[in-house]
Amino acid sequence: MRLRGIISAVFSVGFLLACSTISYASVSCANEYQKDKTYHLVGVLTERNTGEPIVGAVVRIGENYLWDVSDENGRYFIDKIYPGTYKLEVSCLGYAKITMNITVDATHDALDLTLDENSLALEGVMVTAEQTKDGLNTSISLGRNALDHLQMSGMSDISSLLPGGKTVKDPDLTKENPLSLRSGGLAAGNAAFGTAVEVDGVRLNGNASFGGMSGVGTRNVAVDNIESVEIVTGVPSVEYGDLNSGMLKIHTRKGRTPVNVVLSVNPRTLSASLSKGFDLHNNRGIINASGEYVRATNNLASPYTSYTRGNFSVGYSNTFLKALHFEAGFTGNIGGMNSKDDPDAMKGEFEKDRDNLYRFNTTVSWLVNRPGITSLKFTGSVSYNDKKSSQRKSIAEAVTKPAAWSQSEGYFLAANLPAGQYFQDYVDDSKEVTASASLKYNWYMNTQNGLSNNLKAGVQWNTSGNEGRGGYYLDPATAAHGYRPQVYADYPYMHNTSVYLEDELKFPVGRTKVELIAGVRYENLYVKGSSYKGTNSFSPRFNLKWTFSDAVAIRGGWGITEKMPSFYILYPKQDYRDILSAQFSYPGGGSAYVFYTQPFKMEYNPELKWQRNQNAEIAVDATVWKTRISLVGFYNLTKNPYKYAIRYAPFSYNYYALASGQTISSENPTVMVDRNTGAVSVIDNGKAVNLEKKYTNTTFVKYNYQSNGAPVHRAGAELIVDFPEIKPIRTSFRLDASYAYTYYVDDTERAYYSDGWSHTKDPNLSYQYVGIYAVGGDLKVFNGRETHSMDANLTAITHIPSARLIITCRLEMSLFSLSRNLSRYNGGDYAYTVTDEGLTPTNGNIYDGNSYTAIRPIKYMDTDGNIHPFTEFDAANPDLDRLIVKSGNAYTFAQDGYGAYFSANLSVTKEIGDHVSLSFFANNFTNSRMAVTSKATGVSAVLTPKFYYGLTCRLKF
Amino acid sequence: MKRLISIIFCLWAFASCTDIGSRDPYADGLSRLNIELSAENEIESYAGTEVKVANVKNSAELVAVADEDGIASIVLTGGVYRLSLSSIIGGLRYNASVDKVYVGSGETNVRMNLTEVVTRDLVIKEIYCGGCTKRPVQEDKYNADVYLMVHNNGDSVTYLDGLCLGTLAPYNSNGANPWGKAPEDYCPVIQAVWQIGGDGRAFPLAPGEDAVIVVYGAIDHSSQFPESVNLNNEDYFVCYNATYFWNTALHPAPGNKIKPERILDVVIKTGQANAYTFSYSSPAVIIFRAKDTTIQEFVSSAENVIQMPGSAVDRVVKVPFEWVEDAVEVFNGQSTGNRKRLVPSLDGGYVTLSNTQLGHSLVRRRDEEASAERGYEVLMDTNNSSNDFYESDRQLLHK
Repeated sequence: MRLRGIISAVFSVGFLLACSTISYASVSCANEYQKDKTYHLVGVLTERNTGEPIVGAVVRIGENYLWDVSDENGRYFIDKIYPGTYKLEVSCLGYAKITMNITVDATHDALDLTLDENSLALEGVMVTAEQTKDGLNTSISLGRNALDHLQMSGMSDISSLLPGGKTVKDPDLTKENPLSLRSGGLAAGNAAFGTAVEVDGVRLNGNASFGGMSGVGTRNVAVDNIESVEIVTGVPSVEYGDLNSGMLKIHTRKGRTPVNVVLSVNPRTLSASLSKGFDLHNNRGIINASGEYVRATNNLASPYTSYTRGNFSVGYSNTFLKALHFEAGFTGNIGGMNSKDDPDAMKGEFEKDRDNLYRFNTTVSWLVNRPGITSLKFTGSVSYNDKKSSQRKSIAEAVTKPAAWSQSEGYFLAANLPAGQYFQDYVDDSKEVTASASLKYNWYMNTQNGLSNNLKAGVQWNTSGNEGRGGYYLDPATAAHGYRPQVYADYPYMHNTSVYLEDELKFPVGRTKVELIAGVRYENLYVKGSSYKGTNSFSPRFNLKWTFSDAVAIRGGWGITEKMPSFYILYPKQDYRDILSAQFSYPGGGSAYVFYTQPFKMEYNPELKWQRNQNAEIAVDATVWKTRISLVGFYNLTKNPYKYAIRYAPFSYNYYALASGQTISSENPTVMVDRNTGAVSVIDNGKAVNLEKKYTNTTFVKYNYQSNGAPVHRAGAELIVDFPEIKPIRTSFRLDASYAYTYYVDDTERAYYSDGWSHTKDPNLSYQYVGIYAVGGDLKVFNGRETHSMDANLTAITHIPSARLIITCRLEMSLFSLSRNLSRYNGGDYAYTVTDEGLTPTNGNIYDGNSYTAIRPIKYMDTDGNIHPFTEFDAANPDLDRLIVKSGNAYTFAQDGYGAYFSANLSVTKEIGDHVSLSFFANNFTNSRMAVTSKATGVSAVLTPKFYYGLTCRLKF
Repeated sequence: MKRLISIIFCLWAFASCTDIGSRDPYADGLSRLNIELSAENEIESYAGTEVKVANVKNSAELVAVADEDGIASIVLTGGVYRLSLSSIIGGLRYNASVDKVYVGSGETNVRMNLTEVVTRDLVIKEIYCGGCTKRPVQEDKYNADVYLMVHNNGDSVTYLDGLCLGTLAPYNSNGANPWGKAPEDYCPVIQAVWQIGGDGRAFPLAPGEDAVIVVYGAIDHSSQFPESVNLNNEDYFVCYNATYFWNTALHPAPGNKIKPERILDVVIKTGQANAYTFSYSSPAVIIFRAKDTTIQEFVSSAENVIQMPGSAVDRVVKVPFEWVEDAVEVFNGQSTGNRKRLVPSLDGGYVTLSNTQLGHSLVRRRDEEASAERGYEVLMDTNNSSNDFYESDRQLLHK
């Protein structure tokens, strides 16, 4: 694997250098004769209706090659432009963007442009997701109009705008709903964990979280302050690391704006926000400030469980000396979950989860515009996420209960928890800290003959740590049985440094145009004291686009992306098993318990590999009879998904109890425990009583260790068709659809021991064998799954600019979804069919789905720790046959899935004058609750979203 | 306007003249249910035998009376019904029950197979499983205080040595039954089989005497929670095994008065839980003794311990009917989806626990006549819990 990585890296670097050399040779030659021939571009930007100059608009040429920001008088000036044809782009917050092609063969001294204020009175307003124009990879973007029309309460709602995307069933901020791109609905391979989220270039990640690999939470991101969103599902630029299956890029508002007030309400969520972009005048820059308050409840009948988001942000941006653009921002969120008991229950219990976030970020872009260097960009950020959770439980016990807290191995007398009523206050203090810094170098060259080259290189550093105290009890005497401290702050920070190099080459081929991006990313992960191997890796990525005409282009890409582990996988929790080895009661309601504590050895797996994705896609973008069509096919392969594996080892302990006739008469006996043997002596009113050793039990202890699962395959197709507007009815239609296929089989070894079973021969002893199965994860008769699904949406968009009204009606169609459990091992089926009553094989086909099935362990471990293959003879041995696992039903391997079902959503946005805008949505407004039937079980279910509605009012002044 | 009033008047006049008394306006919603009674042995006449017909949804109960040939016919509204019978016919007691009888339009025919009831001396006198509350300490449920009581209904001393205890799958009466209905040739005992130890003569139970078997918590619960009971008593038996059921919340160390020899053994554990699973709302409880073998030998045979349909890892012990000393079917009063787990020969009916956390207990009725006659407490035993049990608003051990 390592060799393959090196080969791929060498190949990609070589390819990259070849591209760069050829292109630079061409570009240099082309430029040689026109050395010193550069021109400039000057103009004034004004507002169309008022004629007032527009301050702070960004004028870019050549896709960020050169830029300027308009000054107090709306004037811009771009100098030292090499001759050529460029794309000119003018954008300013609150105005419709202008994009045009411009040929620079002489100085333009008066390229004055007028901008329209963004409103529904303009033609061509987009309220659906758009495939990013000129992109080589698949990415879709949403502007403010689309976001306003969608009326999101959280970023996870955005998934409904992807091709074939479905409305979130229960829009509910009380649950974190991480985004998972191109996952096909399958969580295997940690799909959500591999989806990256960035806000203004600052990566949100849960790498410093000890709480699992569920993906990045986005509900603390304010939605009203977002200007645009980009969702990259294709092969991303090598500039982006620490991801697998795509990324969400959020851009907040920056620029001069009026006061914006947004009030939203829907059955579960209330929100209010205020924002304003202040112009400090005299080129002193712009300050953007915003605040948003959201309160969401899950159950209308019980408002005692709620999520609150109190988000605020302040940002400053300015351009100095016409070449140095500076941005700095501070964002905070104060809020979180608050679940408390209904006061009528009078228990006084609650659960509070903070979600307080403080983030600082800065960017400095320096437009150098010298030979060999066009620009430099530095970004830095620090983020602090306080996720302290508190839980109060009301406990009432009839007698004292034991609590084993020992962190050493051996026999120990347990502490006694209080009898009667008391509160148990548990706190989990997690304070995730991330910091990053990066420097990006850019060299752009262009020629008049259509050849251009853009070389990008950069170095990045980021670190993640946790300054939290971990889990603890406010009153240590009430700590629950089995509690052990885990101080998060004791774990070392994870540092990631990366270097990347990427070249973008555009050149004409006859009347067609070819664009190629090739890059490679090198990453190194460093953890102090770590014994992990293979922390260095290369990720090559390529994208190619061939534009045959304005109407047809094909594009494709291939690349590798890598997801860093989170602390959850990097630092497995030290666990303990406390085995009750003696107990007795004495007068007054007291009891003594002795536990044998066995720390689960925390094993680092030096062979752990970082989770990697191979992404590939091919696409056609075409315009036929004014109908824009985009069809993408993709294949993603997730290798080495992170997981925990389990091992067992035998161990023995002694069990002691009072002998027949023995009693303890003292209300306050002294108990002594031999740490090594477990022997218990009691001083009872001055008399020694020795508990009787009843038996020595051999059981098995579990070891968790980090591991990698089997590969997960995902493939699919995405289609977007935008039909031209039907003028008489001012309506256009969009059809978007997706087909997804997923497949995985994890036949890695998984040990399983039933703690509960009794020994087959000796009463009171534990079961004497551990089964080792080829099932990878949970013990089931299947070890894989295959799914197919197809979804489509048809959206009618009616836009009446004169009425400043836009209405969309979207028919959501789930055309089919099919799934089947798989069982594979050693090239054949792992499971086999058995009789309904017993475990006798019947030699049937498991995939007929009409028979009970079973799996046998591939090996088993005995109480001496010896591992034996599981044979036919063992299958007939009554001591071992119970290791055979039988399916719970006869349809485990039957083709499952559902047929088609439909629902429709309605959204309306209406602007009233220049200051007021209203939006209304009704999801599943026909209340379509059609039942669909499971192909395997015959059980019906309603899968359409519930009827749901909401209203938003926006004021601008 | 006049025209409209005339039309309305005509319609009213026409409607008034219509004879609705000539037919039953509800007839369209009624259906006939024909129940055919049959028994393995020849019965001369079934005349007068009553079959209880209970609507599972609204608990409305009707009685159908059989004719000489064993045909009981009744007219009902459509719905799902449960049929039960417990009668003395020709001097012998018979039980029968049929679950989930769908009565729709038209006639419905059902056959009920009567089984002869064989009663034993040892009976379950009380099942306290629903728990109570922690008042006044706290407004919360308390269910760590489960016990049952057995009683010697016979006229001679019986020994509890070797007596086994278990509950049937599914745990709750409204749970999905993996067999569809009660298996016809064995009792599927789930999770574990408990057994009272002894040498055969260690634990005598005289006629009319009771013995308490504590399932959860052989401690004094009432010291903190007055609605509960004191289960720390030297005469009580206790289900306790720290190796298999180490959950100290439900299985705390037996109280200081509990004698070690009165702690039951686990014969086999077939489930996964760290606390013995005894339904709070609706257990199906059996007490039994192995015959012609030992229970240990019996469970060592693979054919007697089978995997439970619907579960990948849980297994059940197939206890033969003839081993059962007594069995009680408890239904969940909060559910309309209750289904019988015990065959009619073991329990022809059921006793309903209206709800958990009420401190209620299910208690066998006293046979006053027999008690007076024999001079010790004799309890009703028709192998039909519907007749034999009632829901008491307090545990018998409550003080």
